Amino acid sequence: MIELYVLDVPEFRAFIDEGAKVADQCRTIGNYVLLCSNDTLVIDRRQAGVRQAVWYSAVGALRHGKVAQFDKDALRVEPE
Amino acid sequence: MTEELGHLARGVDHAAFPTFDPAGTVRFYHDILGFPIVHSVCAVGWGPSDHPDFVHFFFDIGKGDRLAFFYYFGLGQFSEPGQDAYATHGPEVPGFFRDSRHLAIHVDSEDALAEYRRRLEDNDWTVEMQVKHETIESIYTHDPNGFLVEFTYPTRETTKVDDEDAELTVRALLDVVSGDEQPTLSKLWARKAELIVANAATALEGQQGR
Repeated sequence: MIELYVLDVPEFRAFIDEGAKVADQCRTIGNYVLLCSNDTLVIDRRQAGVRQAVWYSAVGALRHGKVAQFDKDALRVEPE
Repeated sequence: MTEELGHLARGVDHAAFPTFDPAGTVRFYHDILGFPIVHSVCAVGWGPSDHPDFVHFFFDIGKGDRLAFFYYFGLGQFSEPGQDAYATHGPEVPGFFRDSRHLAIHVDSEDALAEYRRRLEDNDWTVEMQVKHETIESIYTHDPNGFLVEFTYPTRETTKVDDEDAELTVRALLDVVSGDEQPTLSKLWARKAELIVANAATALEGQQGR
C-alpha cells in the first residue's frame, strides 16, 4: 500500500484536502497526514489549487510507491 | 539622495550556499557549533529543465537569522575540494547553482516587499521573480556584480513542527548520502517515512508507559 506523508502545516492544507479525496485512507501520524492508497494515487495540482513553489515540496515522505509523474499538472504515484 | 527613502530592511533573513557535503555541513554547524536545524524544504526539481531534485535546509544563527544550504541530488562538483567552493564559475555551471549562493534580506511585511519591488522597478531594475514559498514570500534580482539578492517577509511564523520536520529531513538525508548507493530524493522520502513511523511508535510507547 502506498504511504504518502505530508507535513500538516497551512501551506500544504489544500494538497492534503485534495489527496484525502483520492486516497483510500487518511490519518494523522505525528506531525504528518498519511495518505494511503491500494492503487495508483493521482493528485491534480489545479484541482488542489496549489501554487508551484509549494506543490513541488509537498511530499514529506513516501514509501511503497514510485513517483511516475510530478510536474505542474499532477503527482502520480504508482504501487511499487 | 536617499533621505526620503524609508529604510525597511531588517537584517539577514538567510544567507544561502550550495553544499556537496551535507554530512560535514551538519556536523560542523549543528553537532559542533550547536546551531539548531529549524526548517527544510525537500523538493522535486522545477523551473529550469536542468534543475535537479534538492534539499534546502536551514540553521538558526541567532536573532532570527538563518544560514541555509542547498544539496542537489546527482550533481557532480564544479570545482576541486579545498577551493573556496563555488564562488567563480564558468558558463558551463547552471544558473540555479550560481544563484544558490545568495543573501536574503528580511522585511516585515508584504507592503515592505512591494516597496522594494517598486524601488527596483522605478529604476528600471528587473525584479526577476516574485515567489510565494512555503513560509516566506520573496522577490529576486541580481546586483551589478551578478550576485542574487532576495528580499523576503514571513507569510507565517515557523513552529516546532517545522523544526522537527527539518530534523527528520536532515537525518534522512545524511542516512542516504552515507549509504553505498547514489542518493536520490526518492530514497530520502522512503527513509524519512521509516523515521516518521518509528518516531510515532516511540511516542505511543511513551504515552502508554505513563
